[in-house]
Amino acid sequence: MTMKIKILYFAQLAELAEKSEETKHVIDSSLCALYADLRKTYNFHQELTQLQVAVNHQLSAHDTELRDGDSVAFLPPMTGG
Amino acid sequence: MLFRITEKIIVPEKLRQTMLSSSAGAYCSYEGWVRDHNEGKDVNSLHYSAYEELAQTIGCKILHEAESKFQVESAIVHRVGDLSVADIAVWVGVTAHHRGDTFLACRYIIDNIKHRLPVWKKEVYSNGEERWIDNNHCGCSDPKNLQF
Repeated sequence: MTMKIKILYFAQLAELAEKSEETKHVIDSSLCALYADLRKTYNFHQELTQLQVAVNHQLSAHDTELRDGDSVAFLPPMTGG
Repeated sequence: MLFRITEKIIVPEKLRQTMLSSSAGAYCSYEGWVRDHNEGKDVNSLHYSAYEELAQTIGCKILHEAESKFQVESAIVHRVGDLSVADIAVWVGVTAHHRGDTFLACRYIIDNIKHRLPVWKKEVYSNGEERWIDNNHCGCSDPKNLQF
């Protein structure tokens, strides 16, 4: 069964993807598979291990299983302040 | 407790007014400014972007931690968008009964902002190049290693 996932992009990832968000239909529920797909599509430089992940606007573990309707953001190291 | 992400110019005098309290004996603030150089390059401006929904959660969590740990009242305002040299990028305000707690809490808050708040900055250089900063370690200790 496919799941509808909203992906949010920030900073250098938004620049490389040339968008701030998009919706994808995915079969694999792992964040790892989703990021691998996005990385290939948009040529993201960082490994998943270098990024934090937010699911539904909450920081989440990399092994979180995606569910239909989730929003996901892969976050580069924070550089505010 | 106040946490705000804003595109507007930060005016510290106005924010200080919001911190006034007859029970406070000390006030400490921190301002992060846009400087004109970094790592040997001339910086013309900075662009900040934020993940606002998550920033609200994490910003309030940092303030809550500081207030529990140091018995203070505290606030953060972080600017996003295009900033010029000398603009204030972030403001932190802390009040407490005594000065010691305000210094410690102010340091705790800004160090945790730099490591945990989902905000990113891009430097725009005088030669026209741009670069997203990929770490925030310059001049900033990992708050996990600091003894508060």
